[in-house]
Amino acid sequence: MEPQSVTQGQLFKLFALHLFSTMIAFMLNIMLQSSGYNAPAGIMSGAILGLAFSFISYKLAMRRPDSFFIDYGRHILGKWLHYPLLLFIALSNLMIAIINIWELQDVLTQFYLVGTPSWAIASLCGICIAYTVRFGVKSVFRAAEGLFFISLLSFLIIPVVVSENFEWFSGKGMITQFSLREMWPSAYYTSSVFGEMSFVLFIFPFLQSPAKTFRSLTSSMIVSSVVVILHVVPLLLIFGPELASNLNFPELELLRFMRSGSFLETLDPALIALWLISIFVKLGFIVFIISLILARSCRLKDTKPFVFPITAFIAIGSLVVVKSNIQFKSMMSGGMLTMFVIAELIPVLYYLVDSIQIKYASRKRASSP
Amino acid sequence: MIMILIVYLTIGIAELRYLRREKRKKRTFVILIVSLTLLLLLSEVLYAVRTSFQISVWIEALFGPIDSWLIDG
Repeated sequence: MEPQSVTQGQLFKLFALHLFSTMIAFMLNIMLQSSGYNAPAGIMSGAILGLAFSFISYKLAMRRPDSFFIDYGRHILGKWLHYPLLLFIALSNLMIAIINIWELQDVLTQFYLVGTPSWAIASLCGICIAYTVRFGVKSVFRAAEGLFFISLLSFLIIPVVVSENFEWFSGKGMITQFSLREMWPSAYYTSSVFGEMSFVLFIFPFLQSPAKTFRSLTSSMIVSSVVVILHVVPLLLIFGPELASNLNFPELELLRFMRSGSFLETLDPALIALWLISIFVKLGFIVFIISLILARSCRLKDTKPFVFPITAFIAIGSLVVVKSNIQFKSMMSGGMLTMFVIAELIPVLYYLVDSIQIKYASRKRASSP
Repeated sequence: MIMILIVYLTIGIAELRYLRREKRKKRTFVILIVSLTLLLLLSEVLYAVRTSFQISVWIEALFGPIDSWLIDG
């Protein structure tokens, strides 16, 4: 293990990439389906809710910034509760990775690698991710650092090049159709994605100047929510909520929309390649967390031996997780995201129990002579 | 299914060679072999029943009610 090898800048870049890449690539149709014109407001509030989850896990981690949560957690809740909860967090991370690879396969087989068998795509993605993670936490964060600006640029350029197709009159809907009830589903779904920042708890001993972590998380939240809003609003202005929510990958359709006559026509695959790599970085972080949980629970020195087996399992899992696109959609809006929210809220339980223990111990100390 | 076995075997051999080169404890070898075997069995079972059962069925059964309660009230 390499203590204190990750800078706060790298942390900010990794989480920003982590959040906006999946939100834009895969989640927008769910948001638009459930919230329509209220999706931008829902995404903003969901991002703040997700940051609140991670604030509690940051507060918990700051009590013992030099030791691993996986180690000290058992002193807080007892080992009989601690290890099953860790297993649940590992399983939900595994599911995040599995569904992301499934979605990657779906995009690639529908648009770019038509006819390629999905096992080939899954294994290629798996090899890329496993190689990044096997060299340790540093390589995952360095990859994020290297990719961040170019990836951000590619995401920022899309709203600009499609702007001439905006139907400005439909923008009125965002003001006149305001409803908290419609906003809530997309806020909840967004919070499940942004709440993934609470897994920073696991890598605290790797961070330089851990006290500044929350500042980095807040900046990632702001940057990624702004980038996501910059993509949702064009979708609403060009396609409208009805059409956009019925497209499997509205963002890709947006990219194809700008094709006509634009010099960026040939850049389309380059943009997709950047998305893919951003998602690889995100998955790298997730695989690292799963292997860290397994390695520290088995009291091993490093995560290396677990990386390849876990990535292989994720790749195979992505082939069998669902049968069809329809089943996938029903899983996403029928429980999957709740599983992630529960996993992200587990640190809150530790924080509460730990606070009670600290209060109880200090009262006991005060009362004893 | 044989491909899955080959993948896990390749990973197992490579990792065991790495552990031997690093002169790691016997306990590490045992942990790696046990976890590889468990993951292999799980993958094979999930792959064998992929047409009749998917993981998503459990997830929807376990978390679907909470989800619909939270979203629809």
